[in-house]
Amino acid sequence: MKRELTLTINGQPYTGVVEPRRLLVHFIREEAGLTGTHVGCDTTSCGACTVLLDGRPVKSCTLFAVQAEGHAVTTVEGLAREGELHPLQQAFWEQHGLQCGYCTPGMLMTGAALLERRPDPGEEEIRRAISGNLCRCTGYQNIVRAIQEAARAMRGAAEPVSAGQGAAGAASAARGGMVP
Amino acid sequence: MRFEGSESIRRRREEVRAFLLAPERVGRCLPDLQELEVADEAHFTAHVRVGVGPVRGRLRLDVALEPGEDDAEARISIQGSGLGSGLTVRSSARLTPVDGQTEVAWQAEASVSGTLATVGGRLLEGQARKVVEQMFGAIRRELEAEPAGEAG
Amino acid sequence: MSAVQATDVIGQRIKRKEDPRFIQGLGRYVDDITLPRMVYMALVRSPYAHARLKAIRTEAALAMPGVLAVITGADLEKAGLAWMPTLAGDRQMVLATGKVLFQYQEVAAVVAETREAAFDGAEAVEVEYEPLPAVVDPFASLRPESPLLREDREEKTNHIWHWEAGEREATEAAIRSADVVVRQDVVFQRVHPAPLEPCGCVADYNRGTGRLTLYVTSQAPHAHRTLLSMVSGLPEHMIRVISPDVGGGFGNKVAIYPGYVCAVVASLRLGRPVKWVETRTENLTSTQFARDYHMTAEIAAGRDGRVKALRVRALADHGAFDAQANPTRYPAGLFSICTGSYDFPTAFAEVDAVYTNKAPGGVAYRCSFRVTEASYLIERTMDVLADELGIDPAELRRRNFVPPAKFPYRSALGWTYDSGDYAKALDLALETVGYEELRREQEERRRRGELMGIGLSSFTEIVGAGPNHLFDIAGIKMFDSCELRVHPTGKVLARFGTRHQGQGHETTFAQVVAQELGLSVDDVIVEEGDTDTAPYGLGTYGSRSTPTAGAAAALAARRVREKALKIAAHLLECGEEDVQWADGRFQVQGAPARSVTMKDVALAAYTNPPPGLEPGLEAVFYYDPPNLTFPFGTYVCVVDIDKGTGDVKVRRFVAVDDCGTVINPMIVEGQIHGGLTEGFGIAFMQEIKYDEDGNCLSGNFTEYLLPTAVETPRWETARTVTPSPHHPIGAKGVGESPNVGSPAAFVNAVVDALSPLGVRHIDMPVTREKVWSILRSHGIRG
Repeated sequence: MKRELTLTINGQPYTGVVEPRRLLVHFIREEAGLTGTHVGCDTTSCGACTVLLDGRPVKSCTLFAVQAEGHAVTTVEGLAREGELHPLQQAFWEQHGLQCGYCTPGMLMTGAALLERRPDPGEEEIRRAISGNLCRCTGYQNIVRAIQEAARAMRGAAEPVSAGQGAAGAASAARGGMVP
Repeated sequence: MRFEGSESIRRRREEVRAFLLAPERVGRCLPDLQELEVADEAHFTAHVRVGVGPVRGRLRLDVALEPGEDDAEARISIQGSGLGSGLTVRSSARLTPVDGQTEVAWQAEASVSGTLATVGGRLLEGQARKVVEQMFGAIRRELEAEPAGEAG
Repeated sequence: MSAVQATDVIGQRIKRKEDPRFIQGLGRYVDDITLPRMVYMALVRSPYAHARLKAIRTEAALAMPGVLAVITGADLEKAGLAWMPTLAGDRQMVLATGKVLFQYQEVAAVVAETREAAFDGAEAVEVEYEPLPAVVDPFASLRPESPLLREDREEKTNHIWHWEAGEREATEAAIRSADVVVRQDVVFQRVHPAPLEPCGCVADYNRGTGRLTLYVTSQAPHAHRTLLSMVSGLPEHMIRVISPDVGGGFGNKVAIYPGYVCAVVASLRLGRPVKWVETRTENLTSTQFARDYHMTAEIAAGRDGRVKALRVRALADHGAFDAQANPTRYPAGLFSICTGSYDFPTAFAEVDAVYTNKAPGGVAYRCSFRVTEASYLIERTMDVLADELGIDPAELRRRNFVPPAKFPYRSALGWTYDSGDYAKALDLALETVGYEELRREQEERRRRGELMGIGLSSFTEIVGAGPNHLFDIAGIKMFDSCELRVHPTGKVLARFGTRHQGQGHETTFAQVVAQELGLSVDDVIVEEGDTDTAPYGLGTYGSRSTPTAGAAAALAARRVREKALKIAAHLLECGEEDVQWADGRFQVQGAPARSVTMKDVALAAYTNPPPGLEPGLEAVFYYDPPNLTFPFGTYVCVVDIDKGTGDVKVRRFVAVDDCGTVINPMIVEGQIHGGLTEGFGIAFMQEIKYDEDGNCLSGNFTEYLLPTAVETPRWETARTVTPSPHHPIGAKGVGESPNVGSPAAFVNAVVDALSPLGVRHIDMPVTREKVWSILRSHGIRG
């Protein structure tokens, strides 16, 4: 009944043997031991479990682990590189974009995917992009501000680097070419 | 929830009534039946699959078949449990002979508790109506598939 | 206290010290904890709101692969654990025995090797019920023909308690003789705090040490340890409660839930760590709800708009058990703050509480014990009075404010307000929003048949419970505490009896300590939540942390300073009387250049203490607040209503808050944004609904709607500062103000928009459908 599964998380290969009904979020949290990805509901509503699957944001409570077979998953633990915070992480800190911290990893991943696609999003666009991620503490205002600030920082940092970064992974823009 | 409907069955009234009081025959008419266990001549337990919105799984139904007030009536009552839910259905069928056929006018009162009601929410009523309609539809088909005149 | 220092850290926008772990996914919440040999627990819950339990069959569940144990109410009964006390003096079933009293009530616990096996096992437990008629309406519950719900009680009635405050006769007399009396029925619907992290625990009983460690989502770990000891019979020193990072609480994590007790029992039985984390549905349907207050207010006033009296009646629906977490003396919490910001000569309030077949509660959801209900009621009814008299709502409020000269002000219902300047906050709010201009615009739009509304709320809060001669929960006085250890290198470990869930204590309390000791915020680390190491305290809820633990922080630091001054005198080679604390250092009076810092003193405390003085530099302070604090503010909301769809668009929302001294403006603003957003959700979207059979219809986030970034308005914040005279640094607490004050502003704005139609009140949630129906009933189409 159990199935073997191989995928990469934050660039690291993981192999596991799981029940087909094992959710991706539980695989990430329990098999891979990466507990930054959270669970907040049972109905795909809250987005606390958001991770990137080949660079696209997905709710990992709504995928079976086996559906990620052969794919590249990026979690919040994969955002910072070599001890340096991702500009979004930095901006969330600067702009008080978090309080209890529970929604933060999912919010960061959605934000990272947005900025990969749209380097200069407007406020409405940001609000729409994060509307699948619920936050009970901040009222979103500082989250929106943080994403705007990160976008500015990333545009500033990205300019010297070549503009077209393609699908190198949503988290890569600021550092130019991080491979998740 | 209250539903009603009618089926016109090409069988005599006594045949229809006898069918409605036979556990193994009514039991087979439950939609998505998985297991059927007849307890005695008036009671059976069935396991059925249900799916209402995101709630999917198995329900255990304890069913009692009762004769009604007269030989123009038959009653079915169901107590269901499983999936963190509870289910009660009381239904009765009024049987009227019409041109050698039998008009079965049925009505059902259903109440659902637990996850099915909470999570199934607004999908529930339509789904429940469908199940009851399917059951009486199946009863008609089963009866008409049997050779006429053969009372159970 | 010294004048403003060069090194002022209070009042600074300091980035939060707790954030680096959260932004890197390195927070540690209960569900992140994994222990060796840990097993999982799932609960079997009742599908019925009211039913007799006929039989529980566990054989099939026990035969499932991986299932280790099934615990039922009968098992707990043998151990005397089938019931537990609530924080309100009632008792609650841990696992059902005899009957179930609300849908999703806990009936059995299944423990298994994996989470999935535990859920499979729970599904395999067969429970036979005999359904009984359910009571969901609190008014119906009091009728004689209503079935008796709590057969376990001596009192054979569904009525729980009656509470009253104020002067009944004087109020009646004033109402009889008044020029004008308005009366309004107001329902504050049942809502749920719904923190993003559900409740859960890991219970770890170690058979070798005999100790139980309970990791739990707790806003009040010390109280939980004491109550757990009383319930379980385990000696209190053999229990260690750890509340790790908490993913939001808002009152939902104040109570002890049956799941925690079951996990403890399972760990005791198996000798293995047991994890239980509820699902979102379990959270919304069985844990602490809030409100469900059915109120009527009458205000008597003169033609000039001066209020003469307030009379309030309320019916409180507590569900199956009175499981609120209110101070013992105040079963209706601080509801008697319902005279609000207004100088009522007399008032009378009474509340009756009742059982129904609904989930037990109700907790103070981002609220200081029923203040939200009270504030909403008075602010809503003041608008009704304004409408009756044809006086502008801002003007009516201004005429009736308690004037600054009357503080400390004793209210008609017995509270002593510490400080306030209500008109100042109102003026700032009106000026910021451009009130006059908006009223002119509204008139114009009305002429064009457009629906625009302006709503005000000039709320007064009552927080910081509380003075020990009045406030206790389950007998434990509501002090709070701080313990400071200054290390030889001048670094400080500060521990508190509170437990933050996002409020920023690790930063704000560090600011208070750093300020008082002349150190940098980076020199101070704040720890909360571990009962083995933190000093005893009552926890974080009711906006009490800054008023109590924040005060304890300042006073513990001053206690450190008292000893430090002796060491400083020794180092400065002068008498203690010649040393003063100024500009964040110890100076010789008259020769400020001769000085030592706290760092110098700290080192000396361990390396060179004065003869006769014990070494070390530590202090503990248990703070019994002399009074509550009374934050206040004025909120103004501007809405436009779409006549075709009933959609209400919040065009602007200006929040002027006064929470006394502000420790960290960035954090205060963040608290206000969050509280306003929750208030917005309550006003427009949220209700825990039941059908007539007691089925909870709001058991997930597709039915119980939380505001997303798209609906949430942009908040404009401003402040006035009126320090609390009795708090060591003048702070009042702020977390709840926005949730307390905002619902009235939203609803007042919508009612104002619809007032040309004769609409005087709409109960929350003010959904699009509700507004649309009102418009249609008046023949208005888009």
